[in-house]
Amino acid sequence: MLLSIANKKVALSGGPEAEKVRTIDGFAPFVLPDDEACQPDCHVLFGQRWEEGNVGEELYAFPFEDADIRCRFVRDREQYLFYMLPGGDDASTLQMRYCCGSGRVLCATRSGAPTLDETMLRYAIWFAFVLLGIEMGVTLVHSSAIVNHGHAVLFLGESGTGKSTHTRLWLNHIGGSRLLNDDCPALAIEDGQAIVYGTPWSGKTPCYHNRRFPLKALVRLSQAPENRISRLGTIAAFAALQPSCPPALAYDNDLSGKVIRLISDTLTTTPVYHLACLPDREAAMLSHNTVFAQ
Amino acid sequence: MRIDKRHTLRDVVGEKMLLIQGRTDAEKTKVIAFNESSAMLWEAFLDKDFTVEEVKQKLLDTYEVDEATAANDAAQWVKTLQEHKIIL
Repeated sequence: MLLSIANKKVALSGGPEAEKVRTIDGFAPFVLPDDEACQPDCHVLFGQRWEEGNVGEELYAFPFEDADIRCRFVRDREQYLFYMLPGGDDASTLQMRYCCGSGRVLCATRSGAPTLDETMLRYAIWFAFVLLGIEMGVTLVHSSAIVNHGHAVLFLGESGTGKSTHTRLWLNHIGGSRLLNDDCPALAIEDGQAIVYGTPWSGKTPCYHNRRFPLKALVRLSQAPENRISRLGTIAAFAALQPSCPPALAYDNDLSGKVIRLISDTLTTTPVYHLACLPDREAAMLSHNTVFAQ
Repeated sequence: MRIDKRHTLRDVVGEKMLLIQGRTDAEKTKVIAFNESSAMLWEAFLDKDFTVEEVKQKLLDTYEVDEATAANDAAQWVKTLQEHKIIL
């Protein structure tokens, strides 16, 4: 079956997991009807052989917050490997393999292990899209994406800084506002313009829209006793956006370089602001009026 | 001394910078901005063993600057990169 995410056609095949994706919450708007056959841009292949004996360098080990799962991201020469280990187990349940430029992520489950549950499958496809996407000039940005006047604005900040709260204030107080995605929209450059797409991943807010909007601005949020907004210069703008891109990519020189190139292209045309604010209507007015001043 | 080749000087909208990714929660990610002369020195010494004296000489060769300033700037450039463990 084919998914269309950020206008990239992702073919899923090779096992029951591929069909299971159709039924996962959030993926429906991104499933291409079967009769709309077209050439895939990339592939996620399930039911692959588990490859033993990879040594390689561990790039990044991290827990998957939504479930008791540990993840490992490894590089062995030209191959990247991603492992998911359910809590308490010593053995990984899922292995994903990817060679840069191949356009293919190969997924294997350890024999005897139960098939991937919905949570793990969702996350596995997320990670696969992160790897496949950056090769095609697309990345995912941890942010809340609000749309108004035909443009998207991305609000950045660590979890808990109030991104969702702020975009909810836009929805409540600024007419014409729509939420595109509340956790993880996609960012790409098309004809020199930064474009934002909705994705099947939206954190705790079910907000799944397969739509695209030009990016008007990025706004980094921080909590403060009063509302103040300022435009960031290049270095600060970079430092605001880079941590919001998928962390695993930052630990590999080649992948990090691709993200940085995408960030640079975005910053060429898109202003970045820092909004120190309270969770109030005035803060939303301030960010809206500043971003859409022209 | 050598520049650790695992680091790559990046160009972001014409600004040169190094991204040093923090590996743990305690270790913050850092961005080091390079001005024109720092970036010139980086390119000049990226693939070789060098001394502070050679860095000073490169500044004297490239810019109209007196010896004391070049010596000071060279020492500062090396010191900053050593502090961030970029120069081994």
